[in-house]
Amino acid sequence: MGLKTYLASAAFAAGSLAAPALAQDDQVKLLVLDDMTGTYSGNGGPNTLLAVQMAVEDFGGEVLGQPIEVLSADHQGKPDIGSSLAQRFIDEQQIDVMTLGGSSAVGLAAQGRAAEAGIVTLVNGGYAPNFSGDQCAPFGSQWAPTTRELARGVAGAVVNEGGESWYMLTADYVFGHGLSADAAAAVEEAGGKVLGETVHPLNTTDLASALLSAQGSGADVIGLANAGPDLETAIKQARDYGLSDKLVAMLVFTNNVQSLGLEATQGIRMAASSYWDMNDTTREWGTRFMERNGGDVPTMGHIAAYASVTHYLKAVAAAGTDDAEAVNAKMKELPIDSGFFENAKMLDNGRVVYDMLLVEVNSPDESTGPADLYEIVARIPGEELFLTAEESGCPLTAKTN
Amino acid sequence: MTELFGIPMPVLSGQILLGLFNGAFYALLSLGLAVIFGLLRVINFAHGALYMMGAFIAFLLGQWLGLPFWALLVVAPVLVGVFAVAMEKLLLRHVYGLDPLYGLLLTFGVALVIEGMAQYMFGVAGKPFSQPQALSGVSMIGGMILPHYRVFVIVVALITCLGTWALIERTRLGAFLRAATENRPLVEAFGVNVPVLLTATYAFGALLAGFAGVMGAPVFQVSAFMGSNLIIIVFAVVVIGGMGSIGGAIASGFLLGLCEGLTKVVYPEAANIVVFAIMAVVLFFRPSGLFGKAA
Repeated sequence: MGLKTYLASAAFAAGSLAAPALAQDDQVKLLVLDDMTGTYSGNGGPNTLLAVQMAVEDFGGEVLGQPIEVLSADHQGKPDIGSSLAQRFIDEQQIDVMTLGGSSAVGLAAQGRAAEAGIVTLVNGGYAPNFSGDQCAPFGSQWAPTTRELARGVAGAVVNEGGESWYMLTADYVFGHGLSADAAAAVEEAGGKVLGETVHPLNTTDLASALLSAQGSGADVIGLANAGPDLETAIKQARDYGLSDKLVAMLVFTNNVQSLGLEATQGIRMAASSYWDMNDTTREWGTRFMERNGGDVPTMGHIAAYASVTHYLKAVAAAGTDDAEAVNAKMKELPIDSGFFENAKMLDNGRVVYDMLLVEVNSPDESTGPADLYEIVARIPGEELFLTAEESGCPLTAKTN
Repeated sequence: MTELFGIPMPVLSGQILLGLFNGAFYALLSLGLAVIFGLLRVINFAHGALYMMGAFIAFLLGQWLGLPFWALLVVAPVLVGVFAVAMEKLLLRHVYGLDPLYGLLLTFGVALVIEGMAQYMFGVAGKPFSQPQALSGVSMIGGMILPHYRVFVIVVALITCLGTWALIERTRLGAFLRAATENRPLVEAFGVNVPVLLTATYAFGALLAGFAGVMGAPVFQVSAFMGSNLIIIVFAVVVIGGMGSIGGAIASGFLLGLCEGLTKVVYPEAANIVVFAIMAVVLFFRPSGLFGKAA
């Protein structure tokens, strides 16, 4: 036996010894890896941890006869930190599953580590299509909608209601351009037209001049292909010029609306995967959630965190093991009927497909309380919006002919 | 419809108004910086943080005490001024007379601490801040949209700037201040309490920043980093106007706001570098700035 083969078999032996301890000790250890303090901590962050803890509590705190352990870590929105944290928790804590949120770049890096180690990933706060597309993982599932569904969901509906000519305000980076392109495609597909676009730098303080250009173009609709602070600035400044009712936003979370106030955001339409005031189940849970965090309305990311962890735990109980492969198969087999998503199912590439909501922000008069933010205007069937597993570009499910 | 650069006049005049509006903030902030640098020889990197502080104090007082906007416009800047007095007495006075680099590093450190604390306490999301009811309307003049609040800010900023300029250039107090920077021992020999004068100057500069912060709160994002987004441009404005030149800071503030506004119409992608491009050109031909005296 040559040295090479010897080393290889030694490594193999070490690997196969370590593997059972890693994945199949039948005690479920769950890591919440999220942006706890940075730019996206409002739509994920500490409230995601709360949602996960509630999911575990509501499940009874234990599965397969052993208590469920919830750990959390702050990746600070930095891919290198996220990646090494993921690896550390895999190696030292033998976690079975991690939930991912915050910047998609970090989530993708962490999902990569998890895929190598055979760990289940639940993506609740990553809105890039790559999670279930070209960088899909064998045991990964994406519960958050992607920029594609968010843009198409709202753009198509708005065009059909008569908002045919659009002007885009686009943040000058990959995410903004992607969002803008998705929306433009959807507008044109629905028979509308994009009249123009202003590209603005990231984190700008002044969007009023871009809004004026948009107004000057005579467009019916001003599409906001930006997020976070830029989105809030645009919404705030549109009000000065009486343009609020022309705005259509692609990626808005309830925390953005809460921070801006209904006075500034009323009338804005957007797509969302779920909303706490959607049905009795979401209302019951949402009320408990807000009682525990001091009144922060759950975002679609928080709802997805609760729903995905619940579904994972159900799958573990049904499979009778925490082995990633068995659990993953069960997750796809079991119906997703917890009530947090409508007509939901999981595709082979890990994409969770459901009906999307088209919502409109209430005016202060329409709102019945601080948490009453949206009115659900329409529901868009999931099949019309999401890519199929074959179309997604996921190498694991790509057509092989 | 009349057009200029292929842009209808009402739209263009709307953009000019916006340029002046942004210029009002540049002028108010660079004025404070110029006053502080002119008299203390300190490059006040904490200026953006003081601006942010003004907005947050206004936000908190509005939430807790329900004070109206007009009261906030007075109370919040005064509180920022009080903070500045403490900062000057405890920290800043120890670096007078040293290389300006020390003052720069000290104030930069203070800015990071203030911003970090704000981020810790308020998170990264912006806070809601409404415009005063009386000014939330919009007028149309010849097809041009005129939001009342923005016009109000331009007018108030202009009055404040001119008042400050008159105070320093045309009054006896201002004469003491200017004299103290020229020859401190001589002014002290005449019985003027120079340390108090310097403390008051720093507090006044901070007060102007806080004032700009309150006026910006209804329009810009009220968040921990609202100052750091603005302060770099403001420094460029000061350099273009001429370090320490009061009139230069005011004029270049409004002028650059206007240039930036017009760039946003013609070629928006260049809007956030146009100020720096102008700075480079000005420094090349006039190293002491447009209104500065050659050292």
